[in-house]
Amino acid sequence: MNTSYKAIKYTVLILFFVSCETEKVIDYDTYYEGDKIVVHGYINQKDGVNVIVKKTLSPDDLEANDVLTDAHVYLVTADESIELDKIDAYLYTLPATALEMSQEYRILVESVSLSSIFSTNQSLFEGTFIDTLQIEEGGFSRDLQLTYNNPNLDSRYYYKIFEYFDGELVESSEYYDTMFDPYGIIKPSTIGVQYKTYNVYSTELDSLVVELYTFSDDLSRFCESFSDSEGTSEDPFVDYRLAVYSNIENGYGLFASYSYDTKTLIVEE
Amino acid sequence: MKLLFVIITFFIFSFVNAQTFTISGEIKDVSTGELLLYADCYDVLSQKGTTTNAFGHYSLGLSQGTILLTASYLGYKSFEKKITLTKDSIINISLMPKTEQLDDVILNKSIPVHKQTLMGKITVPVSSIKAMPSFVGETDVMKSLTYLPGITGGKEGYSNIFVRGGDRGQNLILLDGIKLYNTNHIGGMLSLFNSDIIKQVDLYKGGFPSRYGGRASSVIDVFTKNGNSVKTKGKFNLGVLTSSILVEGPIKDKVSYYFAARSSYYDLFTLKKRKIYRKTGREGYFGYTLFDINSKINWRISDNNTYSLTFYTGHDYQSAADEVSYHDRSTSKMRIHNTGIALNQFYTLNPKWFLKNTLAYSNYSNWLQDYEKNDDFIYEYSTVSNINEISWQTRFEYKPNTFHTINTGLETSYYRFKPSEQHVLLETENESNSNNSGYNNSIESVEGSVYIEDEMKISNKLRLNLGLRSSIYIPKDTVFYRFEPRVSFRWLVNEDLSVKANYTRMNQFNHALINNYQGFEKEIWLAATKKLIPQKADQFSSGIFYSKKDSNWKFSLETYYKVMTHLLEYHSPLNDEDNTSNLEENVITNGKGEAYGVETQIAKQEGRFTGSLSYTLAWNYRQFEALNKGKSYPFIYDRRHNISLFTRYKLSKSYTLNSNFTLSTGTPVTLPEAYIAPDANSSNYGYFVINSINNRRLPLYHRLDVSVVRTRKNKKGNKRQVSLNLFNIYARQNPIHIYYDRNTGQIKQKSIFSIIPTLNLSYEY
Repeated sequence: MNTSYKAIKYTVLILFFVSCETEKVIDYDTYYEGDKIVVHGYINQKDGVNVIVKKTLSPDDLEANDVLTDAHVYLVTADESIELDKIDAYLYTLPATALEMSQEYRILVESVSLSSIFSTNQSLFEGTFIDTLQIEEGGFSRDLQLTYNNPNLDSRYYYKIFEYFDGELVESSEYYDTMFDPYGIIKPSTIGVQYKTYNVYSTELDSLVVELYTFSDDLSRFCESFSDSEGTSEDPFVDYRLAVYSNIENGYGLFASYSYDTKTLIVEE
Repeated sequence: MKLLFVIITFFIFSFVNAQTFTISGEIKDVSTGELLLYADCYDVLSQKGTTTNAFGHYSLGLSQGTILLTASYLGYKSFEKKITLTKDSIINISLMPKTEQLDDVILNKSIPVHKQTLMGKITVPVSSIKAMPSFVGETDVMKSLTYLPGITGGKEGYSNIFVRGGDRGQNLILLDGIKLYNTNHIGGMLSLFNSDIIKQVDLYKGGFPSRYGGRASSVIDVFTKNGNSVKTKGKFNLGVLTSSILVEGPIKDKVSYYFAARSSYYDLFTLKKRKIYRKTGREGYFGYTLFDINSKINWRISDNNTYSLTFYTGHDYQSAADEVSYHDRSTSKMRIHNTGIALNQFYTLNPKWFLKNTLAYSNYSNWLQDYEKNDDFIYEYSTVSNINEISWQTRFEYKPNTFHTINTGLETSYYRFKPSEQHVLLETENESNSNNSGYNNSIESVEGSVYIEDEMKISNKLRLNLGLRSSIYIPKDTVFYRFEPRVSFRWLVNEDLSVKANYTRMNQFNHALINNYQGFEKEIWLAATKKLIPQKADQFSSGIFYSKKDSNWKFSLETYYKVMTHLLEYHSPLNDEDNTSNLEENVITNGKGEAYGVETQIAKQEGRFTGSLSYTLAWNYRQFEALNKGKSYPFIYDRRHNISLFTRYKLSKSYTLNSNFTLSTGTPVTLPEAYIAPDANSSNYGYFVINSINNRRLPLYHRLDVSVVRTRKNKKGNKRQVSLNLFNIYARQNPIHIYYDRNTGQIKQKSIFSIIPTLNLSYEY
């Protein structure tokens, strides 16, 4: 019996050994359609227009230069088009004073070397307001309780929290200096008052600044599709792989509006 | 108009009987008492013949006088008897197995396929299934079907089948009348069918008889044995993955039974680790148990009335734990459960009327749980999905004369779904929060169908099968009415060659959504609603069939064109909570599918060397407005070319060599067409650009499996069998996925299976 048990055990072990997953580099012809313009741009009534413009890279050469040197970037309305100021090799901006709430805006990028691109229209809108902010003292931690009223299930949110002490920023929810972390998007499952708890890290702080962002539909779709696409890229068991959403015609990326409400909480000892 | 006149005239005159009598009865195996389905019965003098039906009965109208009745079935000695026919007669026939050919493979046995009216039907006896080299030593009904033309297997090692461009949830799978909603063990690596209890598998790829409905793409009708009615027999099977036991035999004169059980034993090796984990939290483990039980009692009350009760239950249980500190625990568990019961009655009202009643219950459920416990909190997340069905079917078969075989009946089913209920518990020292979400309430629906079909012999050359099925489906918010016309014809060009064509429509009211949980497939069944409209498939097919009389060779060439509408897909193929918490919102509806192709097969059915060569050329597309910018894209299991070569050679009286070679175009895969680097002066993420889904293909897939089987019998007739299976004998690393590694810019492939040698032992007494 003991011998039989051992025989079965070793057979099972051999079976699992030979059937384990393997991974190897293969020689495979890739396809690159050629350089195209990429836009990552945002429009907001407080921050104005901030657009990063560059070009795509071949999947075979991820470290190549993606600067588009001859780009002209315009904000286009029904009546006019305004050229954005070039700040550096990538960034183009326009101050908020040039924007009107009632207008619809799209971005147009022209280049001599590549085909022009344009985005879908974006509207400026008034987002959701923060209703309450308060600190809850726990046994080992301090939590920030944030409430706001969600009007419908399609809304998507994002928040940034900054902790200050003596006027200096000591901690932030933003680990990266990117505009939005696509993985941080908040998708409420109910309509009405939403509660969000945030663990306050700093032991010494005197104020907290909270920014609650309301995303436009395009921005929501971009962030959601980004995380879904990443999740499906290396999973062999999914039936299809998702593309990252883009609202740019003839190119890639996103030009999207958002809105945000800011509230400051003075933390008392 | 002329044709209409001919058909009407045929209808009127074909029901007018000449001076004929009916002989009827059953054909069975003399050694086991098993009824033989689709066995040939033929009067040599008048050259009129028929086959036994799915109940094992035959009925043949013949003129008064002398007849020379013959009966035959491949692997059995022929029966022949001269009879003077003066009245309606019941003649039961017992056939003797040809002992010297006991192990001959039978690739396909029924009435010669070129003479059948229906096309797209393949009858697969279990002997054919058992002859195939097996994956990890497990004979698998579903995997063996993937070697047939027009059928695609899923991912390597899995038992799923995709028929003529359909999805895996579009297959109607019946086990003695029990509708099965999940046919997988180990998430699809092994099917739940225990081959020891199976008598025959009928697979319909097209030309569906109107008695079948409710699924869009195929019918897989599995018949189990009735149990040996002559003497008690048993079988043990010892395999690497599972072992099984079968007992069958008579209980007095009129009752026979079988009982079969199968279980894995991998979990035995984790017992020690589990014990340590329970005590200390150390030694994380991964455990997996599967088992199934099949049982049937067949009670022959009288010569014309038989009841059978079939029972099936199967379980899969997976548990895994992460190594943690002393008081902490972190586990994940999964349980999949199937149960089915069917009470069948076979009643011969008279030699021309047969009745079958079926009362069946089917249940499928899956449950997942993540559990975490530490000093600060206890967290538990669980989700459950299930479907229960109770159904009643009544079917009449009426053979008024040799020109008509009429099948009519009704079916009704009551469904109770719980597509996805989720439960979250968070417990800390101070508070406890519990939250239920998803579909917490059960959803109920009712389906009813009536059908009629007539297989008409218009002349010796022309046969026509006309059918109509009408269904009503009542879910929570609406009512659906559907009509399904079915038309098939056969033109016998000469004794060896026929041409066939057909059109069928199938509707599917219950939708299957399939997700992956850590590589394990998880089905969720949903009722049709106003938003989730029933799926529909229209299929046209035609073909030529050649089968030389008194020859073991046969050839077929079929073409098909299938259009599917109202298909479903998840918004995201990822297994995240959103998909299952609000299913209707996270499902893309109104998808279209288009599939077409050519299938051909040449086979040698009997002798020392047997085998088949199949080739399929196929196109298979999907189109959803919300996917791929609304454009059509290749379905994940679109394989342009698919070649399968199965051979079996009897080396000696004891040894047999089997091989199976598969070669197919790689499945579609989505590879990026460009890269967008992270924004400068920012730490955000770069990403790849995908313009179209499934835009490239995996490299060519090919594999050779070989098995050597030694079969020996002792003087008592007890059979010992040892089989050595070599799966993927030349260790081809077939890719199941390729992707860009963004760190290196290289393309990498993932493969799962290399060569897998396994040894199986079985003993029959």
